[in-house]
Amino acid sequence: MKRYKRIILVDDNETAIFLNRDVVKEFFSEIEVIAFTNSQEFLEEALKTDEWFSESTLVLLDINMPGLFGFDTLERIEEERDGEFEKFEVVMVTSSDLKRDNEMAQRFSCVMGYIIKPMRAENFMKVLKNTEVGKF
Amino acid sequence: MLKRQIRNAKLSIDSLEGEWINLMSLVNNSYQNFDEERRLHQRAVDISNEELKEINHELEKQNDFLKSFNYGLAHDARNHTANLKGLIRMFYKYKNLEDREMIDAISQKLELSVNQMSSIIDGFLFLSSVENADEGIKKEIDPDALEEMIRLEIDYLLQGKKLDLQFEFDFEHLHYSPHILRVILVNLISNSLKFSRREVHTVIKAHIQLLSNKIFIQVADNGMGMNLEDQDSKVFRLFDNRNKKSKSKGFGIGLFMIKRILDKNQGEIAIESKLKQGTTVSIYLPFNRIEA
Repeated sequence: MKRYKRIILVDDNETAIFLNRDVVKEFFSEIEVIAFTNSQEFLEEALKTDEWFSESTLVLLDINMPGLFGFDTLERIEEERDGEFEKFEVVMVTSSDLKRDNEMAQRFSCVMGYIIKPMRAENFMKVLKNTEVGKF
Repeated sequence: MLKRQIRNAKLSIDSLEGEWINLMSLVNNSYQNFDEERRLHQRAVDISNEELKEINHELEKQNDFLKSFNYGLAHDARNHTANLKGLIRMFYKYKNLEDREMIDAISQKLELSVNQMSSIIDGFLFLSSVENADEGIKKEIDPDALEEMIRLEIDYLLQGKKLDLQFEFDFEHLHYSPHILRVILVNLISNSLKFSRREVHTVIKAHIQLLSNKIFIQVADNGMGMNLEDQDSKVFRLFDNRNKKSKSKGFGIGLFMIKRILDKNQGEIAIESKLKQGTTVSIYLPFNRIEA
């Protein structure tokens, strides 16, 4: 199993954070888990926190959020942190099963997986295995 | 004899000529009438085309609105259903582990999700009742009762979050639709909550005041705020009726409900916001004090 330094949960819904944290803790009980219910706050933090890009970091990112969408957030991060995605991995966790959203996710080099809510231990495991290969 | 015949013939020709002239003027008249009628008709067609265009534009706008609203609701419903499924699975996991504390936490979240689900159903009902008199029912509103109703609705969103929610309702009696005031206040307050800042103690002020011919409703917070100078500001796009495609995405259904109320009641909205300082939303609804 891949080792991460930290896992970041971004979802505007607190219950989704609660659920995802529980699944994540099942696999990485000792790891630091940071949660954001606001994508704007997550973006601001990502733009100024170098460790997220120099140490192995996994982000579980929702798509449909008020104010700033998941993909818009990623676009901004990719713009500002050009080519720093060796250690910054993102998995989209969303209730959208739209083909359009899945295709959109694949366009981002840092996105390693796509999970439809509710996230379960099984599909999180599957995506973790895939991130080792580096694609979905 | 011949002379007489010629004279008669001349008379006949004269009278024929007279009749001919009469006939011609008659024809001319009816041509003019016809032309006038044709012009009038064309004008009527032009006007009704113009009207149809306008109606069509209005319908298109409504259709876009309903589509977005519907999409928003369906998306939210889906999210909460996913949460419910996840919570139930989690519940069984911790039940087997006999973890009392977690089971309590899960139960709270279950209650929250069910409440959220039921507010979505309210949203669908709002959507279907928006064209009937439902929201138009006016009642005598008591400021304390209104405050209590809103606090109750906001309460389940708080989830133990600390918050200073202040109400300032500057009226003793008000004869108005409680439904409209409730939808506006609850949605503005929950938006303020959603965009609160972690580093400061959240203060939200809700204010209602009666002006000479308007109801003034304001909700101010000290939350994240936004950059309104951004031409692309989504809030403006949503409330700008000149904009054909007022984008829905990224908004809760709440702002849509407010927009719908404003459109229907010729209300106005003003938004002031500064990044990291907060947002103030002011709404004006026409209101006739005498009639009320």
